[in-house]
Amino acid sequence: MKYIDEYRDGHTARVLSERIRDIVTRPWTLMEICGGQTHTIVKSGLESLLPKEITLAHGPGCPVCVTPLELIDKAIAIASRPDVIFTSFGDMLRVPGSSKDLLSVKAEGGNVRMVYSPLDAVKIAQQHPDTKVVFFAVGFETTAPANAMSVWQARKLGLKNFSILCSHVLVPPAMEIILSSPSNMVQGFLAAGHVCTVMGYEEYIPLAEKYKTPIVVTGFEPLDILQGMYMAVKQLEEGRYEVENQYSRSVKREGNVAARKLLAEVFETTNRKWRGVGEIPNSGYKLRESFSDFDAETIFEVAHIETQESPLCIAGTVLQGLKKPHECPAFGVQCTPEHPLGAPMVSSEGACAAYYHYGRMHAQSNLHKAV
Amino acid sequence: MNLISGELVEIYIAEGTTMGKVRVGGAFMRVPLTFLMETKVGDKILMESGVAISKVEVENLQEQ
Repeated sequence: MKYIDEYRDGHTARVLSERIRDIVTRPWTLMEICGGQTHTIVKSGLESLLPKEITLAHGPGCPVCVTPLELIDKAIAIASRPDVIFTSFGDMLRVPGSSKDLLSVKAEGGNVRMVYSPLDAVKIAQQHPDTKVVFFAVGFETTAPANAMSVWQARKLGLKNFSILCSHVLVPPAMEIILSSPSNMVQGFLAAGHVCTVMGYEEYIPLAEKYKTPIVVTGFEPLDILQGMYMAVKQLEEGRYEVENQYSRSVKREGNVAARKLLAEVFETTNRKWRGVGEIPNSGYKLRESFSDFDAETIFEVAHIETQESPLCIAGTVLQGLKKPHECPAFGVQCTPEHPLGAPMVSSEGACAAYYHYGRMHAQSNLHKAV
Repeated sequence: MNLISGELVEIYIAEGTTMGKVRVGGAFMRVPLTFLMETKVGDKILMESGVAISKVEVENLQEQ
């Protein structure tokens, strides 16, 4: 496919790999933030093209994975109500809550629907004026404009039966938590290119300076990622710590100004709990007071819910880049995409799912250990 | 929730919103262009959750 195949060319990948080998003189640890990048790395076998000096840590950039268990349980409680049509992106439906997932609610008779866009949920609300329609608004800054638009559009249409269960998370505060941790091993970041198409990359500049860590805004195709790694390693070897933009074909320094304007109108930042990581100050969006009529958490009074995580799942350490998925004893044994214990095994952006789908040898070695 | 890229083949107005018909492989999507009002037919764009959010600069792509 045009403009995609060019970024998957094996010969160019080997050239970029050689360039990294030519400049590297000592060990460096890089973290790719986004789960989409993790999937590309594992699917394309990019780690096998890197010199032994380069270690990759996989970051927390999978919105499905970091959505807190409380929110999943709240979604399940709302979706179980007979007066509700609950809408969500597909991969949220299989994320395990404390006792079940949203697909189980559907199987039990709940009106749970998979939609591609929050704007589809608004249409459903128009078609069913006597039923409450709720959209599960998860995601990073990339998804936020569509969710903001849905609320803005619902208000414009005068809809009283549409609301969102909001669990938006923001990337830069999570990067700061990783960099400020005493156990941090990350020396350079590949920032998530798609997040930066919306937000630009100005807010990364103070982070790079404060923590003396290079940050390269990077795309999602194999050659994007290899080039991003090359740029990060070059900075590290030269003692620089700047923000550079590998993904310049889609990312502008200021991002998408129109989208950011609507985000500022609809949302405000709030402290947000990340599953497996804990609460991070100012790391999420919530609806502004002026849009509180569309806040499902307030409408359905689901504030007090007891949760229970699987004791076997080590998703928290995986999401912080401290352990690889196959280092979990449950990986590929008790935890598989068919029977996931944690969200990273469910999502199309989850690191555990990537290792399972594209790195079966790890699963088998664990299986042998289990036997 | 991954972004999808496609080619803008038609721009039209529906219920007061500027919309784009976008070719994605062999299929078509219809998305609001609210955040990309400067685009024109023939542009390659990125879409997230049913909304256009970024234009791909093809000249830049060819340079890279």
